[in-house]
Amino acid sequence: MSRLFTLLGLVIVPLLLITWVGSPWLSGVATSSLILMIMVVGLHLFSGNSGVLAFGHVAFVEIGAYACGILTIPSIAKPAIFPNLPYFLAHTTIPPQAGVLVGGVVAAIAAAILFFPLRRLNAQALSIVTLALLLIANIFFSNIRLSSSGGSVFRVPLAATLWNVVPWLLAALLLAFLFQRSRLGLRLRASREDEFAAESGGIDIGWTRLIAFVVSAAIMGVAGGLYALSIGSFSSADFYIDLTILLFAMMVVGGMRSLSGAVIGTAVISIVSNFFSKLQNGVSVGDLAFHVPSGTANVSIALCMIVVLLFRSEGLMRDLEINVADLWSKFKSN
Amino acid sequence: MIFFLQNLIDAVSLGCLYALFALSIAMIFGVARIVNFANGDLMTVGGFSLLLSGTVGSVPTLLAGFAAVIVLSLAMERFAFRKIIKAPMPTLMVMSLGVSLLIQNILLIAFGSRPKGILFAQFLTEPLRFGELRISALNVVTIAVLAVMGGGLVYVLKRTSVGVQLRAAAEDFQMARLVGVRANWVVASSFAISGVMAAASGMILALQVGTASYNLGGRAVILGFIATVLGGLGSIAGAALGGFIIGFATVMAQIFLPEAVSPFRDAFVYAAVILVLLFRPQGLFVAFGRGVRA
Amino acid sequence: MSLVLDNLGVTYGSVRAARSISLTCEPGKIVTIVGPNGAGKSSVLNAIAGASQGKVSGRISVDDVDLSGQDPEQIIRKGVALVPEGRRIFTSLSIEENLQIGTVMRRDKSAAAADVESMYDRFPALARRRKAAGGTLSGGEAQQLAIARALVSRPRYLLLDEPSLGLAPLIIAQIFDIVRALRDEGLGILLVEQNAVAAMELADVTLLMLTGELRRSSEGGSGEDIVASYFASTLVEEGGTAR
Repeated sequence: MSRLFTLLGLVIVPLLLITWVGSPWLSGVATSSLILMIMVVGLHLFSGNSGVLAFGHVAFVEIGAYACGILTIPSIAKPAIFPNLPYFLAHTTIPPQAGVLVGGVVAAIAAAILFFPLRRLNAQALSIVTLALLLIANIFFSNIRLSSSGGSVFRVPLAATLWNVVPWLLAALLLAFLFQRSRLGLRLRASREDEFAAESGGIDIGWTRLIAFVVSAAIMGVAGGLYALSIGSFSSADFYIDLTILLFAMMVVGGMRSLSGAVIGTAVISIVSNFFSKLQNGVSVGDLAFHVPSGTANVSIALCMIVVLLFRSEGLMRDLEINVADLWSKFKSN
Repeated sequence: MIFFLQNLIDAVSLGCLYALFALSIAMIFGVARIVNFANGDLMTVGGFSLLLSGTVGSVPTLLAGFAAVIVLSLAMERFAFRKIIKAPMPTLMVMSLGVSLLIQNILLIAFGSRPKGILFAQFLTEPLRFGELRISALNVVTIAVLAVMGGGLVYVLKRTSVGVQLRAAAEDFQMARLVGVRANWVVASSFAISGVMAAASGMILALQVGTASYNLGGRAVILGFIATVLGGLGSIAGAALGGFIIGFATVMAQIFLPEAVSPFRDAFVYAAVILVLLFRPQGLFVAFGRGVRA
Repeated sequence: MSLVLDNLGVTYGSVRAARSISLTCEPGKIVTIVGPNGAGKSSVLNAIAGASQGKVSGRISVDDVDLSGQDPEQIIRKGVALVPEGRRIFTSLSIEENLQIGTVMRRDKSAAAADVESMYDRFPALARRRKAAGGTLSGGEAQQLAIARALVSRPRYLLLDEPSLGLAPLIIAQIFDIVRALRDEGLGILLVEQNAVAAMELADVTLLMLTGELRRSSEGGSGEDIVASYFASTLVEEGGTAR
């Protein structure tokens, strides 16, 4: 249990500091980082435990974003802006937090339907198939004509603030923690080490993976809804290869097999990336104004990934979890 | 009839191009079990090298392009992958994502985000005429390039010492080392060969689009992967065939799909690939049990 | 001038597959390690050849040159060749190519080519079907090919891991004749076998390996006494009736 509290504390304490500092830029950056963290936790829940790299997982972020986004736009304006929406969607509006929940649920249902026929595939084929699903989702959402602007969604209420994203992150961390400790999580990790051995031991890999996939998709969907509410407008391009690479960078730098790794990896990459983004936008030091070229932030993320993998290839946390109880007893014994 | 022939050539040409993508990726995957996403960026560099043709002649441009890509590919192997070559596949995959991100953004910083027009071998844009038949010269070149490179690869694999070592390493890497094959050398060779294919792919892509941009190879590398998995992991010939089938099917889908659905053409092709993998998860051309490193 | 193992240990995670293994294999002698399945015999050979998946401790040296911790492709260049369990010939390569690949580490290419030809003389079964794919060979042919492939590297020491596995008695006899001939030509051979009876006949020195350790015979003995008493003890354990 102290592991869980450590994790939660690790997240909350810096946020309290950020709120106290009161900079809107910092709060905004922290909010988007937290939303990314939810995505990484979702990705870790499935890929970290099963060893199957779900390259297409951001498709569920996309589904959650579209579901939440469309349903939370005020229905006064909706039919006019989006003439091609079906009647039900055009005339219903739900409160933002409910929208996030709906995003998670819709993503979970989609995941269950899509993964069910795929559950018996081997790990490599499964990875590529999820990628193919993302490609299909991308084509679908790019080409549906919601309005004259194609598949873009806009006018989503900007309801996501730092402290109403936090409960969702805590819930996601709790869910991932419980999953990891559960029998289901144990079975899934057994299959990660050796598919054949696990199956001979009576573990039904198909169902175990299916459940993990659906739960993780729900988390991705929630993150998608929060993303929609934090940015107000988006299109299919926001949920494609760039986001996928970013999430994998965060997960792997932190340590794919560790939940603390998901948190730490996101934090590290976020800090580095936002630092350089700020420099990209221009910074004045006294009388000097300078900026670094566009793309530097990504170069820095790439270098993080490469350096961490070269020197600590399992990621910063390896497969360990942070635990104050451990640290305390180590401190006492020294 | 004319319509049919023109479409057939388009289909064969795209099939050949995708086969080239797949070969580039399968070379490294088959030998070193690395899923190298940075391959697409090698292609992009190949495409960018055509920009030199304003300054130097066509042939030096081509040579420089191939050289640059091969050197970059070898550098990737030496500095990014060699140290972690024994790591599990997911780690290697993510390293390749890192390398890809790095190269793409360096290109972005160097060249900016606007695509740059290419003026190279203008004659390639002229259609060739055979009676009523109009064929794009670039299509013919694509088919020819695949034929030459494919043939060259077969020759190297079957008739040279390098080739025998590559095939042995692809089948049983550890046993190959036990008989004396140098691991680093054979992996580097696969990267070099992959680089040659990537350079050619990138150049053709850039000529097709007419411009070079930092994400030129992005879609190609994904297609290459899907083709490799479709053909069967570990089978280089299977990958080429997988790529060919996807390219061919893409053009055919374009022709036969109704107008309203045609923007979703690629989605149909991907869905078909998923279906195939459901029924034959090991890939089309590989006997079950092979292909995955133990 | 021999292959010496000094306190060799092999550990897989927390499992110690082999410990305190010390032995000497001289040129022109066959040292056989027999023992039941899982005793750790293959782990020892793999460790010598550099192919171990586990952690290797202790010292391995060939003619006083330390081999410990080296890569497999370096070890074969120092004169130690492994014929692994299950042969592991390259099924997608032809017989000819399997032999060719055994010569990649040879610097003297024309002598190497001559050695390849001489394999066809030594193993006529292989000569008949040079271009055939490795996957089409029978068990006995595959075993011959695996040995030939190791021999073209001109090793001074040959490590054989369960050569009789899956082969009919007649073929086993043929293979063992070949091994004897190789010993007579001056190769030092370290042989691992479950098939104790045949192996003991072949051996100059027999060692028994049980649960990771060697049981030594009394000084100067060829080791058969200890193996015999081991088998007797297992018979007694199995229900107490002498059979």
